[in-house]
Amino acid sequence: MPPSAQAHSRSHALLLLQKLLNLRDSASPLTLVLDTLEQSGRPVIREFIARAKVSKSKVLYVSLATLRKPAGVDVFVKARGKSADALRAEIVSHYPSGAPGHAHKVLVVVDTLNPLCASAPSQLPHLLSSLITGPAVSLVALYHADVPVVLPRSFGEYEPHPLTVLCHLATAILRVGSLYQAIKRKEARDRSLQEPEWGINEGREGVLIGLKGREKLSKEDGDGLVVEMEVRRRSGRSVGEKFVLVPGENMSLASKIALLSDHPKFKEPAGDDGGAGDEGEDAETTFSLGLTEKQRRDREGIVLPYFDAQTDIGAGEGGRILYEMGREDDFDDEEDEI
Amino acid sequence: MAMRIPPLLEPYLRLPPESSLIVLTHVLGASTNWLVQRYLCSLLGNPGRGVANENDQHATADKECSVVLVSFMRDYGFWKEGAGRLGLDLDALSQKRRFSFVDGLSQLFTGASGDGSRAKSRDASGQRVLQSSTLQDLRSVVSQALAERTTRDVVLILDNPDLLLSAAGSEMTAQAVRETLLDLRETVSSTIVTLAVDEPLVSAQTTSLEKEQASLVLSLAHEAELLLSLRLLDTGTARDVSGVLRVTHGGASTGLASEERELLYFVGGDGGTRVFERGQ
Repeated sequence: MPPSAQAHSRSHALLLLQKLLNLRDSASPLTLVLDTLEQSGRPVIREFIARAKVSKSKVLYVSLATLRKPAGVDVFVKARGKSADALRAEIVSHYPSGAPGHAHKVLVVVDTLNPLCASAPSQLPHLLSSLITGPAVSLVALYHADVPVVLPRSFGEYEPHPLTVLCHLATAILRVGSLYQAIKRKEARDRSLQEPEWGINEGREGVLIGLKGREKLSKEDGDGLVVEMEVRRRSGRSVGEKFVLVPGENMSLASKIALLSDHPKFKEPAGDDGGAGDEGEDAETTFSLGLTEKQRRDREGIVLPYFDAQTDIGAGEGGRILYEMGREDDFDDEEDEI
Repeated sequence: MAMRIPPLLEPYLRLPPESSLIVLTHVLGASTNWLVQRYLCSLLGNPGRGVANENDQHATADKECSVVLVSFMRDYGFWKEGAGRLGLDLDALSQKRRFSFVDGLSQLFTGASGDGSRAKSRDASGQRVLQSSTLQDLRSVVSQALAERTTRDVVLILDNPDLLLSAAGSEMTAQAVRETLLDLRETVSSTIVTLAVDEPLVSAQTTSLEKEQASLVLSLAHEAELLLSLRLLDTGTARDVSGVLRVTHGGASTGLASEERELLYFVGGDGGTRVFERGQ
């Protein structure tokens, strides 16, 4: 890819994530943040709340597992033990009332969807979509991907798993992972070694969470996390990209976002390697293997015969086979074979 | 008394931050009992108080915390003996209303159905007894125990509440246990929970018991501030090492443990415990 196109797609992806985090132009009504014990998704949630604060949106925090109201939250809704209908009514009652034309933006954060998936798997899609009453409302929900959902007995055997439904419903999915582990995996991959596993998959009985290791990440990485973004556009096309998010020290400090491929540990060494390779080839042979500019232009101008054959010449006679016999070709009469 | 607490563990055994959850996990052969005893010792043991503090009753009352221990695996005698070895008199502390014990073992399945004369809500030593394996009962008994505490900071220690999942019938769900725990957590300053994370219980996740257990353990780990996981040595058994203690942040960490680390521990025959780094 030419460098300009690469730079373009990079800034495009970054803009898309910024737009998603800032909840601009109802970029994504339902954002699903999938996390595991190895890397909590809370920093991403905090990022959403901090940015919503900056843009003066109203932040509603629906708590199913949190005891205390987190910083920057306007309304704290305790959802434990409430039915789906009661919960919906309570959340919607906190939406700011105003003329629909210039309605305030509302950010609804659900701290974990797992309990809802277990208690009301069939009502969940309806509950979530009924919470999004208009373009001003954005819903960000955290889901712990490693916690198994125990489905109620009444749940149909052939119904899809709640997470599958959620992934279909979501307009954006952010999968978070640990930067340290991503680097270690990449290192193993580069050496064609088996990728290491952490936590429950570590294969050690009694281990739930992996260690981050003795060697610390560099200062600027701090406790950075890898965010795998998948945004579904209105057309249905999805855009995916991986980022590194380094959360700010506190609410007021801005966090840093960069593409994962721009991270020093993940940069493709192709540029350097390719250069070195060319030099090596040049040194080994006395022939000039490259093409001059004129040769390249001439080569591009050539129309190959099979392209010519495919042009339709009318009367349905496209697809001729153009073959010119050469001197060395041996024409065998078909009748000889009889 | 400070010597009773391994110095390397001291930062983790202090009074946890407000409304936090600490999860201790164990596997078969690497029990958390000694760790719970160290927690009791650290929370209830008198911090070297000077004469000046003795005069100021309010200051000490603020610093002191009380503990409610709910145990589903061991009776009061066990904990009393273990704490006694560390120089902690649980009877005296109960008198001072700084400690109370809820026995979830001896009458959990016999209390409600048994004859009225035998079933008592308090045992001989005046400790509360859970008489049925329902969450309502757990909630009300623990709330009563909590109401009696006089200090501002109350730490609730639940020893193996996951027993309810496996023993209390199929109506008991991880979801309900979690919600009860959250309700209880709201009324105390911090909570310590021990859970079993043996591989067949957590990793397989095929039968509903495995799913319930994994669901409870993992969702509590997501809510935890700190996770102390005990396991056996990876390399087999050794005479002078009992197992490995791994300290990691939980999902809702606020930075109590600055560093994630692994330590080795050794529990001697007399209950004395040593905690040390690898290679020490």
